[in-house]
Parts: sequence; structure tokens; C-alpha cells
Amino acid sequence: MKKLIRTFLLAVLCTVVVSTAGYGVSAQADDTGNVNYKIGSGSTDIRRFYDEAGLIYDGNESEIEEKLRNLSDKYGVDVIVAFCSKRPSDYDSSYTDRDEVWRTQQFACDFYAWEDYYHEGNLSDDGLIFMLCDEDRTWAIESTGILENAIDHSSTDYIFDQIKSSLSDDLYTTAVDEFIEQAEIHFEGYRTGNAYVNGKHPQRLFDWGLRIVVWIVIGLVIGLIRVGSMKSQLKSVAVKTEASDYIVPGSFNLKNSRDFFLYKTVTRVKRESSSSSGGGSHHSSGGRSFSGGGGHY
Amino acid sequence: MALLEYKCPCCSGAIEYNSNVGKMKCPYCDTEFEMETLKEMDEAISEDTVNDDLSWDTKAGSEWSDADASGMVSYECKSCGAKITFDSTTTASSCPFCGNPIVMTAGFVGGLKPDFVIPFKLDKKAAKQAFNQHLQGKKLLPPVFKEQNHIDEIKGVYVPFWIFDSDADANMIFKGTKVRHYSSGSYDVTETNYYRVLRSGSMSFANIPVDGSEKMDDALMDSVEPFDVNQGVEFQSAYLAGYCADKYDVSPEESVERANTRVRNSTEAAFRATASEYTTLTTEANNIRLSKGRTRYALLPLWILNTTWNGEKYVFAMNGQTGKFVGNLPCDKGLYRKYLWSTVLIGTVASGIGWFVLHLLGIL
Repeated sequence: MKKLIRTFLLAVLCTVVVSTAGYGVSAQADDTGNVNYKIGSGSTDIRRFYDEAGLIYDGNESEIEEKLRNLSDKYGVDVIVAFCSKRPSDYDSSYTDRDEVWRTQQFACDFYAWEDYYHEGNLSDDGLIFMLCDEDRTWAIESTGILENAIDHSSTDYIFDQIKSSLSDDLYTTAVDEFIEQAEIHFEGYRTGNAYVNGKHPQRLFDWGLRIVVWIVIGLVIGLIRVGSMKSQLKSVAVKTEASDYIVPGSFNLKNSRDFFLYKTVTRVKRESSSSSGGGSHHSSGGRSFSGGGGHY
Repeated sequence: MALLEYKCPCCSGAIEYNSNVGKMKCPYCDTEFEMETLKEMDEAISEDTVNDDLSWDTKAGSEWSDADASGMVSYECKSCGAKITFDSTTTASSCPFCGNPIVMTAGFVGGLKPDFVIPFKLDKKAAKQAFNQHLQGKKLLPPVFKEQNHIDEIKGVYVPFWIFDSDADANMIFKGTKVRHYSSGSYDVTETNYYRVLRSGSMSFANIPVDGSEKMDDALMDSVEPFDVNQGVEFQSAYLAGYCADKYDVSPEESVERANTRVRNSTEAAFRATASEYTTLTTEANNIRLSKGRTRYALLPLWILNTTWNGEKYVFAMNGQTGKFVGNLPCDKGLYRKYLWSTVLIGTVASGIGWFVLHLLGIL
């Protein structure tokens, strides 16, 4: 029995190792010092974190700035995080005829373009911006250049899912840390030829744990059905509660058959419509193309 | 003037005419009904209403003649109390029901003479073969169970049965629903139509066997059915040669309840089958009246094997007419665990591999 359990645990372990090997997400495994992480055309020496809304304690701002710089330099891209104090339409009146989510997305794209203009066109062609608009509680994550292939609309929804609980709890520093972590995972996925786009998402340990539990449950159900079937073969004795074998053939005579309609009930259930976030491509005022998504938080 | 009162078929509250809607309306559950429907339904139920009558003529068997009795001897088991009849040329030593020693009584004690007997068509060799076949392919059967069985102790026993015949008139009232699902705009709609379903008619039952032996497990005896009663012949003591007969210790009056349960369930099932168009069917009333009910006393042939394993008693029985073999077998817990966990392991790995294949194909 012990041998059987050992074999079982080994098989599960093998499954996990084989599984994670195919979908490795960690850059550290390849971190030999000689690896070229650059996926973009190079980062720029700019300010990367803007907190006009005052959502982050001052002491944490420099730490966030450093993390964003490290990430940008490592992958040769420009990653910017901006928290706005006003509605996008307050910055640009041309936004007013569109919904709030679209405005924040467009403002994020334009913000990146304005930064580029401010730095005389030296900003990387390959960039990523995460914007929160505290006034109308909207968010946007937009990528441009090569990063459009690393983070698309489905990726931004996934990234937001990872940080939304922190945003709901007003834990903005944690949310930014989670965004940086997710951005790196997606950059690394793209770098290793395994981009998390078109609905494909990084696998987390929890996902694998859940998956393995599901497999074990399936195995357990199959096992119980099999031994249940074997056990039922041992039973051949049961009380008979009917006498259908003893009805005289042809003796059944239906004399009266009447059906009366009484009443009817009708229940209507509204179909759930899935609330999708805004997505698709945007163009900044300078004509630069962006991909990503946005929504409310 | 008689005051006519209708009960709501939905909640059983008293319903009244509502002039605003021009219909009968229940003040308790607000359900509305057409006046004509209620009237017609009420009349139909009144016409068909009968009271249950599940009585049988339980006179069965006859007195033994001296000639019959002279060819037989009675034995009694001091352990289980069985009173067993052998033909006078047979010397018996053990009880076919419990395996303990039996002793001959002072004279023949046979109770009633059976109306008929179905003679054994299958011999001991066939019974042993059927038992071995019964053990085949049972993967959870403890291996030592087969070795420790005393298959040679399998005994041919005529077991007392009461055979019931009757015609049945029945009136059934069901509550039926027809459910329809459809979409309307952004809504999923479920429409449930409720009906009162009235059915009445008759049917006949013949040869329902109910064992008259206290010692025989009712479920075991039910499981060896059916017997072809048409092959029954008049009892002769010669049929006991090489076999024994158990004397009934459950009266036909005491057996009636089991027969009635089976008749009632089968009658209801037959009428239910005439309303298969309904999504659900709930029985509201089930009145059955039996007529021409009669009971006969019969001895039916069974091969019986008693065995004890791990302190538990196992009884096997084979229909001596058809060869049907029944009897629950023990389960080896070690084998159970072995098969369970090995299948869980294979199932887990297989579902993992399946997931990968589906993932590679882009389905997951």
C-alpha cells in the first residue's frame, strides 16, 4: 500500500514538473548573468511615476520610481504609472463625447505621447502605461510598439484581475507592485517566445494546485465508479416491490382517461450579461498606436 | 339549496367566483380556474371514486390424506426451529437452513397439503456448477471464500410459497406538469402547465409468489423469481425423494401485505405509463379494488447453500426450475482499497494527460 501511495505521489509530482516545464514563467531560472533580457528598443532616462492624485505615501514614491526604472532598463522599454487627480475630460475637452473608460484609455495614450514630446521624441517606441483616474474610478493599461505583442486587451484584463482587490481596498502601493510584477511576467513570457496574449494567461501555483485537485477528483470519481461497479456485482439479492412479471398479458384495460388543465405559471429570469471592459486599439494625439484595455475599479 | 364548494387543486383552499376576472379564483394562492373545468373535473372524480379493497380469499391447501402422510417423515431443527419434511426412505442429519443437526419428530407434521408442487428440473450438479459460475468474475470476492466453501452441502429444498391471483380495478388521480423552456428577449422563460390527470381501468395479476417461510430471507426468495407456475403438478410424496420440504410458518393472511404492495405499485406504474407526455407526475390518489382474489399453497424448488465466513452467514439460493442463482457475496476490503487507489492513480494521470492533449489542441 505504501508503495502504491509513493507511486501515486511520484506521478503527481511528475505531472507538475512536466506541466510547469512547458509553461515556465520565471525569468530567474534563466538568470545566468549572460542572458539578454532586452525586448524593446531601449529605455529612456525619464520620470516614470506620477501621483497627481496623492494616492501613495510620499515615502513610497521613490521606491516605486526605482522599481519602474529597473524594470524598464532590464527589458529596454519605458514603463510609466500615472495617477490623475482630475477627469481626463478636464485635461482635454475633445474627450467629452465618449464614455469614461474610453477617455481614460485615450488619456493614457496621449500622456505617453506628451511625455515623448516633452523629451523631444526620445521615449522608447516600446512602452507601457498604467493609469488610474481617481475622480471617476477608471483604469487603463496601454502598450505600444513591440509591447503590443506582449500585452494585449486580454492581458490587460488579466493584469487588472490580479490587482483589483488591492485597488478596491485602496492599497495603491500594493497595486503598483502587483502591476510591476505582472508586467515583468508578461515581458518575460514574450521574451521566451511564450507571450501571454490572445486569451493565454500565466499559470500560477494556485492554478496548478487547483488543476491537480481537479485531476485527483476526476481520478477519485472514476475509482469510486469502478469499485462501486465491482461491489454491485457482489449483490444479487433485493426485495421486489412490484409484480409486473405477473400481469396477465393483454389484461390491462384503460376505461377512463381524462386530463384537465388547471393553471399555468411562468417564470422569467433575466440572462446575465457579462460586463466587459473597454478594449481595442487607440492612437495617441501624435499618431502612435496603442493596444490595451480599461474599466472601472 | 345545496351549497357547492370547490377546493383549489393548487393549495386545497376553498375557491370562489371572482366577478372581476370572470373565473373561479383561490383567495389564498390567487390561482384562477375556468368554472367549467372545475365542474367537469369534480364530476369525473365523483364518478370514479371507489374505496380501497385489497382483500383476498386466503383459503389455500387441503388436508393431508393418510396415504400421503405415510410416505413422509418430519424432522425438527432445535437450532432454528425449522420443521422439515422428507420422504420416509431418506435419513437426514443436518438442517438445510442453518446446517445444525436435526432430529426426527414422533410423527409426520405437515400442516396443509400443497395445492401443487413444481418439481426440480435441475440437479445438484447443475446447482454446484451455477454456484461456481456465480463466484466467477467477482474481483472483490475474497480468494479464500471460494476455498472455504462447503459446496457439497448444497441442498434441494421445496420452499412453501403462497401464490396469489386477482383482478384489480383502479382509479388514479395524478397531478401532472408540462414544462416548456424558451427565450424571450433578454429573458429565459420557464412555462409550467399544471393538469389533473384521471385514469381508471382494470388489469389482472396471476401467480404472484410470496414465500411462507419465516427462516427464508424475503429478499432472497424475491430474487430467485420468476417461477413458471404452469408447470406445477399435484403433490406426490415421491417428489421428496432426495430433497426435503419446509413447512410454512407464515400464514397466507400474513403474506397478503407483501402481495398487496406489489399489486399496488405495479398497478400505479401501468397507469402512469399512459401519461408519459407529462414532465412530472405526482400521485394524488390511488384506489384499488381487488376481485376474484384467490390464494394457493405451493412448494417451489430451490437449491440452498448456507455458509459462514468471518463470522457472517451467507445464504445462496438457486431456482430449481430455471437455474437462476442469487446470493450476496462478501467484499475483500484489501482488494477494494487496492482497486480504488490504483484506479484513482491511473484516472488522475490520465486526466492530466488528457488536459495536456486538449491544451495542445487549443481546446482548453
